[in-house]
Amino acid sequence: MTILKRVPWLHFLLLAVLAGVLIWYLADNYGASSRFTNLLFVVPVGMVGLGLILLVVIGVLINIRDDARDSGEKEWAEAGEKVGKVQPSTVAMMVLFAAYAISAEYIGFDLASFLFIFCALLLNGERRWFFLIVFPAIFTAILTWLFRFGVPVPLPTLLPW
Amino acid sequence: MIDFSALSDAFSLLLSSWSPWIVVLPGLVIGLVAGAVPGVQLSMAMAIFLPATFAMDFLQSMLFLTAIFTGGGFGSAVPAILMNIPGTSTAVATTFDGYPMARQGKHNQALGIALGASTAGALFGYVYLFLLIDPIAAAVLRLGPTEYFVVVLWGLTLIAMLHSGSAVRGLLAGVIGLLVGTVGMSDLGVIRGTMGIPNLLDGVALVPAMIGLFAASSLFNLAGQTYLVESETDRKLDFRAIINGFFDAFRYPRVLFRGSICGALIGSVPGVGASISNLVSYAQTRRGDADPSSFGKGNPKGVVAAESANSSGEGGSLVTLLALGIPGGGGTAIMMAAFAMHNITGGPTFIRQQTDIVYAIILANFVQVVLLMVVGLLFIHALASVVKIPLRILAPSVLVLSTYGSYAFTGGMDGPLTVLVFGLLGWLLSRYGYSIPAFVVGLILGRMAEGEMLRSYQISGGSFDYVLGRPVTLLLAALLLLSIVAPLIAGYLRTKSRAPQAAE
Repeated sequence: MTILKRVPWLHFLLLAVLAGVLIWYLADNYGASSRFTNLLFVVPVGMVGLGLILLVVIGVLINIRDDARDSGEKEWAEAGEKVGKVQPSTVAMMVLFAAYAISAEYIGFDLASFLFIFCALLLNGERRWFFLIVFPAIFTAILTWLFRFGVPVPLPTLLPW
Repeated sequence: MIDFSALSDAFSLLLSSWSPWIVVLPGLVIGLVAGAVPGVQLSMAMAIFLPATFAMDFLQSMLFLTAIFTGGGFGSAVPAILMNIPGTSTAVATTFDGYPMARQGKHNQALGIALGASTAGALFGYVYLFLLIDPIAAAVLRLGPTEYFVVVLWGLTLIAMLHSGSAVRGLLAGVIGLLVGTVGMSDLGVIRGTMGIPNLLDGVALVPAMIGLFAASSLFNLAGQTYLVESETDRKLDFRAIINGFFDAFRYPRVLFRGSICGALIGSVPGVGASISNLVSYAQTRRGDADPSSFGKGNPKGVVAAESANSSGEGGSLVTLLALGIPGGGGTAIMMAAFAMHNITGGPTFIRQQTDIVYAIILANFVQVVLLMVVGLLFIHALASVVKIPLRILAPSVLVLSTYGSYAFTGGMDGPLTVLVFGLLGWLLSRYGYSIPAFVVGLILGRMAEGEMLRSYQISGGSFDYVLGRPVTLLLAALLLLSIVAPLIAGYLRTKSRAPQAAE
């Protein structure tokens, strides 16, 4: 595998997003008030942040160069980074959780929680149908019931608990 | 040194009602279980259960959280000894001799020793806190905004430099955290970074953010894994041997004492928590022993050194939290969030005005230590079984629990959505070696740092001469610089000294 194929794109994307958000935040601060007292803390800290991002990028590039010279670190998935491959199951879990967190308000916490645990169990290899149905149902029921009676915050649910 | 009138009030607070005590036992059990499950950091368990403190009064919530802390100190030793997996980063040194002891069939003795050393260490840490909290608070009262600002930066820098493989990445995590902490309406009434979302006016919701950063980010990684301890062979636990092991810990009083001092002192430096002290204590004990080669092969002194240090660090880290209002690490950062939930600001003013509550927290922790002994012995069998829960069940269940908790905390969907956003961010940050504790501490201290800097500017009238006239600020600034430069120089010297050896 060539080094180019192992460039840590995800890390670079993270750094680009962090730099973008930092610049936007500095601009938003300046736009909100250009008074010195408003910029006193945020601007220097933001500048240090941008400098550190630059240092990290340089560090990663040096690591990639060293990795290209030394073929001994092939066990890592991304050049210059001591990380393994991103597991599809990890990504799937994130997507499932995102769907759960976003949909809970609309379909109710009880149904969303049941579906999330059901799908997560299925994703992670649970194949006993009885368990797939019963465990999420009991877990969700206990949690929702405890919440409804123990926390003074109305919880959106499908069933009238 | 000790305010006896406040001490008497503290006794009244604790003895006049059962209410402070009812949370201690559940807290200890949660801590024991969380510590015993590898991969579940104590700070993660504390974050998950933080919303539960919403319904408690301040004393109750502190006792609940410190009980989780105390329980976790010993809980993490169980998988370290039985499976060579440190339950948390604080139990790394416990594996060095604990696991070899288990391999030799002495796992009952090792578990008993760990419990004995943990109990003694935790007790020492709280005695240290009890004796020193008042003088430290008195000294801290003399600090002004410039000193506070430098202390905040120093603490953050230490955390960033010590918790991460790369110092630059650790610092970057801390800096980003600081800035995220300033989102919302500032002390000057300026609204920044809210993107028009009204819920962000008060800033990012701390507790859901911490649940996302500590808990959700780790749980995503557990997907696809079956058991953490698949290769575990059923080990029979012998209650009598564990009890004997408990008393064995006290056969090495010097090791116990040295480990406890080491843990308490190191634990009270921001950022240098129990994760470091257990290793330092182990190294010191090994170096000072007549037979250093026996370490790593099942020497009970290794377990005593590691466990006494990581448990006494708890009291040490509370010194920093209570006296300076600065969290020393993940666990105390959660406690600081509990302070905020009850509209209490830690620091010297809090200690001066509510000395009775501070003493009550410390006194209750003495009792917690004794309870740990009993609960630890009762639960030791169950703890060893917790690691047998399949991850496919554990991970989604804890995620759902976190979601309900964050919803309860914010009273709306911004809680779960914050968990999601910070969970994804935390996963990315930890994947590439950015320190999550540094990010969280930055997040908590961002607003405070900006406020102190603003006050420094207003008091000094923008003149730098003001800072030059404050020797404590200059001393702290020098320490801050030293903490950044020293590791870099040490790293450079290490590389330089290795180069000629490699050339040979």
